[in-house]
Amino acid sequence: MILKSLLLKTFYFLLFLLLGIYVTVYLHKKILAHMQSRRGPLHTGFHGILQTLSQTLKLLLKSPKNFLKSQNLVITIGAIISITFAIAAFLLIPLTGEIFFINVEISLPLCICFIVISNTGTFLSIDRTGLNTNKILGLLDRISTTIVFSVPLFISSLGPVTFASSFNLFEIVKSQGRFYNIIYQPLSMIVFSVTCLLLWQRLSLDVPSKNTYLNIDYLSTQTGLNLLMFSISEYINILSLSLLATLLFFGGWNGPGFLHPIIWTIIKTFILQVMFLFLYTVIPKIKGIKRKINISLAFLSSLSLLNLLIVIFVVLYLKPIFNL
Amino acid sequence: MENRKIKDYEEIEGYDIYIEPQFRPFGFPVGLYIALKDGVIINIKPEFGYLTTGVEKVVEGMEIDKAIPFIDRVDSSSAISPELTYCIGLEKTFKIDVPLRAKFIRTALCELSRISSHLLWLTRLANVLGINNALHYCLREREEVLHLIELATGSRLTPNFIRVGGVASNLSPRFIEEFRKFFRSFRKNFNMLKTFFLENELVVNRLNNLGVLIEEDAKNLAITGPNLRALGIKKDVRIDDTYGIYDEISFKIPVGEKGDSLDRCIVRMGEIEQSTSIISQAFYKMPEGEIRTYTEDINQFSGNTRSHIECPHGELAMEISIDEGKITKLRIKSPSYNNLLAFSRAVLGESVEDVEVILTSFDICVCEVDK
Repeated sequence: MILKSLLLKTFYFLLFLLLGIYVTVYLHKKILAHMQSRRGPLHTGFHGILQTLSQTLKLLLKSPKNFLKSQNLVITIGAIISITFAIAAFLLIPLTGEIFFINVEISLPLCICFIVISNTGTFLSIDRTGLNTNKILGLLDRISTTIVFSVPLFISSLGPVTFASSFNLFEIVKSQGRFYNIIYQPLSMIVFSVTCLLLWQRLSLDVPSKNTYLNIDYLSTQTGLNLLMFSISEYINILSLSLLATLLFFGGWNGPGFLHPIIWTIIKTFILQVMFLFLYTVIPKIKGIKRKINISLAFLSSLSLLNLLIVIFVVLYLKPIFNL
Repeated sequence: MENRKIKDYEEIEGYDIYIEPQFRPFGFPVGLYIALKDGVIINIKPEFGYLTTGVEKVVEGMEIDKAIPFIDRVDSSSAISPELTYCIGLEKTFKIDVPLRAKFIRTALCELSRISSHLLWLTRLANVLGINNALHYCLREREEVLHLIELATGSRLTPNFIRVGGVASNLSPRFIEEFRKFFRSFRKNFNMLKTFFLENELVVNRLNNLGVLIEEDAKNLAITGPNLRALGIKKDVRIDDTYGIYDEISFKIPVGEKGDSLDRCIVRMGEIEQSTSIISQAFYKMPEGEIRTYTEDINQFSGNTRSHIECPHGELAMEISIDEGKITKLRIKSPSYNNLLAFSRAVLGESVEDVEVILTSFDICVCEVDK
């Protein structure tokens, strides 16, 4: 009986995840296109709704029949690592107070760790055929971005944690009952969103891959199932990063009672995604490891540390007085 | 799989990195051998020749008029300039009078293609900097300019429009109608494009003091065009050795100060504005009349001729030998070749991440380099 309910739960969550990715990919294509005075996909289905499905089917059909023998095993392991940890990170995030997959005491740091590990899966995708400069530069870019920007991501998430005095995402959302964290700590929110944007990989300020080339640089030698796994894991990470931002700074499922809590979560995540997409199209990318280290360690990390100090002061001295 | 030989950059002595010609951010096939010391470029050697068409050889033995479509292929971004160079040279030596209306049409189309070439350059710059929004807005404007060129000449990229003694066809009323419609919106849209590049602090800080070209290098390598004007040197074939109707039209020559990537950007932006004013003046002053003078003894010409014009990349020069109406020798001096060498000087002392931005800022057309 327990097994059956667990399986059902897993099924529903994976269905939600797949639908979420489908919608995310479609909206990325369509909204970006309209921001850039294009039209985006139009011909597959009504306004190109089936475009993502057709691309997925194409990749599945392109994969070789004897998959494990013909592919480099290391790359396949990398792909599996990236998709497994991406799904694991997503499953740790609660959608509402009632709808959640698992409740862990330290869900926030675990979730961030899983996202970073899933990003490292691509590091294994280097092989003999991938020895071109394009791919190596793209991979180096990606490695440096992941390593450098996971530091401010974690520090900035400590602000809400201190305020709720818990690492649990439920507690963090519960602490924002009256006012959202964006009012208390806008600095931390800015740092978190900027690092989210940078860790998106599928673009953002630093671009190992640009969608204008219709090709991902560091995956340029992959085909079939491998490429599908890598790119789906990226989209899952995009989804879970924006969900995390919603829970940490925008009050999660809190909202006026006339709508179901899950709808508030989805609406807030959608608005955040559109904001991120707008920033991505307008702002030029950062290039070079020196500039990245300057921005992440000197600027973003110190900003979030400053925010952390302010929050600690508030929690220690002001919170008991004003009963926040 | 095991025996497949991969071209290894370590095989080349004295260089640390080899960027292959298929490296997409450049947008054209140029290979680069880069030598580094402490993360700074100390030597760079461009590798080219992947787009060789052999125009100079192919054209030999051809009749004068039949060579024009081949000469189109010299420049991919503004194909009308090599045609004009070729025809102006022949007209000058064999004393063929060109009707005034034809001169005005030539000038207008040349400036249109200058705008399209500079917009293509802006697109590349936006792509390299990673501003996807600006990239698509630039492409949209360029598309409209190319549509106008297509309406006038019949082809978007290879017009084959200019003839010895005039132009191939007259401008249609539909062209003039659409042209007016385009120009009303273009000035407004171009100001918007300016805000993407020159009023964006992130872009300005990125381009400022990046890839500075020294004046001595520029003179030694015979740099011409916008790259030279970015140094503050006012040199332009349109004014120094005027051709066509440029002496009847008033326009400014935008110049920079230091010769860095930002100055090159500012100069090209200014040139687009000046080109719009030249075109509007040309259409205002354009007289009615014939568009071509036919010469019957074109098959008896023989002699040598030289000509040069200001193409979007710089000074494009040609040396043509003709014997009894047939080309015996054609030599082209293309500005992009010198610009590529100038890039290899300007990039010294910068880091590897900035190579693509600096290379793009020099506006190199590889069709011209390889010919």
